[in-house]
Amino acid sequence: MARVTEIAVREFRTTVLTKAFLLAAIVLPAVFWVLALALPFLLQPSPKPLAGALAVVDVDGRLAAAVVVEFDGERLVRERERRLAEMQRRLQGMLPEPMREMLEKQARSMFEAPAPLVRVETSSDPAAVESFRSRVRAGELLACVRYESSVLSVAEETNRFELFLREGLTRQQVDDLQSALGRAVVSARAATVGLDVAHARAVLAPPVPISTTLRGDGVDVQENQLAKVFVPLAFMLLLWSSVWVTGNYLLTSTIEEKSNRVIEVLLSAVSPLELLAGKVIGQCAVGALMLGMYSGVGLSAASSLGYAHLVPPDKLVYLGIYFLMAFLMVAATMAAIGAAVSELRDAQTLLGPVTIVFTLPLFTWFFVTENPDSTFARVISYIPPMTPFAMVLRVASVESVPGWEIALTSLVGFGGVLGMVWAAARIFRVGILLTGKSATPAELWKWLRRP
Amino acid sequence: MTAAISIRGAEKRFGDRVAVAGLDLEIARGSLCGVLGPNGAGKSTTIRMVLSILYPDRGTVEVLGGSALAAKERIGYLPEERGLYRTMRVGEYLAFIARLKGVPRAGLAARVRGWLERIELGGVEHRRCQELSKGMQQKVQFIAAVVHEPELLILDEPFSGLDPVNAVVLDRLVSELHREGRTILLCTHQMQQAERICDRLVLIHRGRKQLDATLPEIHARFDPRTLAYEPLDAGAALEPELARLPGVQSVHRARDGRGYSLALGEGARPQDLFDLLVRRGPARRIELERVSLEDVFVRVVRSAEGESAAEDARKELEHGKGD
Repeated sequence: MARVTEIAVREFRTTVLTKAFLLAAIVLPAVFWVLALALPFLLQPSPKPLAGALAVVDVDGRLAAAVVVEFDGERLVRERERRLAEMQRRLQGMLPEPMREMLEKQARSMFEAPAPLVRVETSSDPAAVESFRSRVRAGELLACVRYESSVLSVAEETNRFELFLREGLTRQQVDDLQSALGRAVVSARAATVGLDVAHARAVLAPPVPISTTLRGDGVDVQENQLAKVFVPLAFMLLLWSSVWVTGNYLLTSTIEEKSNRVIEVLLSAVSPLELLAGKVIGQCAVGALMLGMYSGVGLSAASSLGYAHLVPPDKLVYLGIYFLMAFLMVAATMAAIGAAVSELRDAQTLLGPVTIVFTLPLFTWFFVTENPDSTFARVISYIPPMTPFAMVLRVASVESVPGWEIALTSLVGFGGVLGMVWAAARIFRVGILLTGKSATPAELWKWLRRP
Repeated sequence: MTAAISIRGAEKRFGDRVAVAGLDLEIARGSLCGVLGPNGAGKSTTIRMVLSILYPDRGTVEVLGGSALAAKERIGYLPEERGLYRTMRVGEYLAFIARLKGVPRAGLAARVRGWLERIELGGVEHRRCQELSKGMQQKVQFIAAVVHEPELLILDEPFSGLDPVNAVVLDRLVSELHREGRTILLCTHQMQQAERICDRLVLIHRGRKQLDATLPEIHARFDPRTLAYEPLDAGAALEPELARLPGVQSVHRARDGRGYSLALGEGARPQDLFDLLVRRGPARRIELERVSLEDVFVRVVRSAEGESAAEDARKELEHGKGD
């Protein structure tokens, strides 16, 4: 066991204490994390205030009057406050407190931008459009809008207006103009039929559902449906990335030991199985470290955003169990491939089908998360290379998986692990001494059957 | 005392190819035994069985009085195909190998430093293996084989690729380790080197042991009973005159054309002929010829497997010299 430990420690140290690992496993995620935190602030808009003259051509005259009212400074401020309140009302019950505060803060900063200072010129002469267009083109006017009287009716085919814009306006400025001119039409129509717009809006606003899940442990939590879909995905990605990255480390270190001819020195001191065990344990520790780091970062993020309740400790225990299962499967496969080839280039041929098998679960994420108890989800839970990935999705989703099914799939999964490790050990003990050429599939089959 | 290595009836096949065929071998403790043979003779497979890297299909292998597997920590091994962890530091690498061989952590650093100084590599402990020259790397590989001070040391082509200066250092160390009482198994196809340092030789060809004897035994058994004679007046044709000398059975012109080979007849004493040649006149060289191991090898193969096998063996040896 002491020799296995020595190999495991060397494997762990030489993997973890490299610039590549520090970059890939620590620095890059840290950079992404910092970026993720900073991005909302970096992307915070700094809107240019809409300022200038707007020409309105309206034969009827009621629309032009509504536009003048729409661009009144005080009214604009009131409208912003209404929209902010509406957003707050919608966010309430949807998101946990810390997340809601963050989004509201961002929204408030948007609504605190300077109000538009728009002077409105009106004309009832349809021929005035041409002169206004020339002034827009010359940059004297922000825009020119032409309303037909028919827009006041509610017929779908006439429910439009023409807007001529000065070049160089930002998307936000165009949005502000378009929505104000649209609101003006609605106000004019409402005035025509004697309707109170604010009242009508309030009547038409659907109520916001505030759902509370009453858990068996006595804790009442307000769930977010979107988060419930993404938590299993996060579990799956954590699991997959940690086992796949460390599996690849195992593959390259095995090939390196063969190609630099140090393997025979090692085999004079340890048996092939001790070597395999040491390498697998060492890389398992690397994977566990990665999993621990990423999980820690993810949990702290979830906690700070108020989602900690979505990742209870029992799910983390399952994550650990399925990590071990998935890692041993990937490690056995990678060690066998590493032993069977002489160069990394040759390994690509064998890696192709293996990669397909192990990435397949990634594509099932949505179907399994949407319906964790479906026949599809259940079937793939009993197919060993997919068992840990399918099960981690199922146990991380909201519907609870029956205990007997967790036990049975674990039995099948670890049975699969035993089979894969047995096959890998047989290939490893012969292949590890093979130099200068790579094994053919027929040779691999022969090694498996050799006593 | 039990033998250091005891192989009985060992056979190893790789598919249809027989690498070792019914090998019997006993290596006494404390000996420096050379295992000779051309490439592909079965030397490396035999070593791998001794190291329990491979297991015989038939027969038994005992090492240091027990199973090959149980003796792993007491064996040092310098393989022919040897390498290092390129990015590891020299000291770390040697400590790692020593730990695998069961050396306790206490005093390990001092032991590694001591070996580095002994092999004239002081100061490279903290350098990465890939930063060393090829010769220095080979010395580090040698230390990896001996750092745990094994009872049995197996060296597979230890001098191949070494420059003359480093070869002398290694030669000296091998001799020192032998004097310390360690059993050393030296595998090589360089017959002259083996002849110079080994006290016993085993010749293997195509997986079979062809000869197993001490050097004096080999010299006695394969004594050519031939005198090399090179007179100062080498230009004249002296064959008739030399053939008439008492005790001379036959005379041949030497291959280089500079002298003669005088084969002694039955019962003739080399010393008598030596005196006669000295009295005949001034000579550049009068020497009792010693059989070369290459010749012994070819003769052994010829007697065991016939002329064509002997010719193949000669070609294989010639080919091996170029490696």
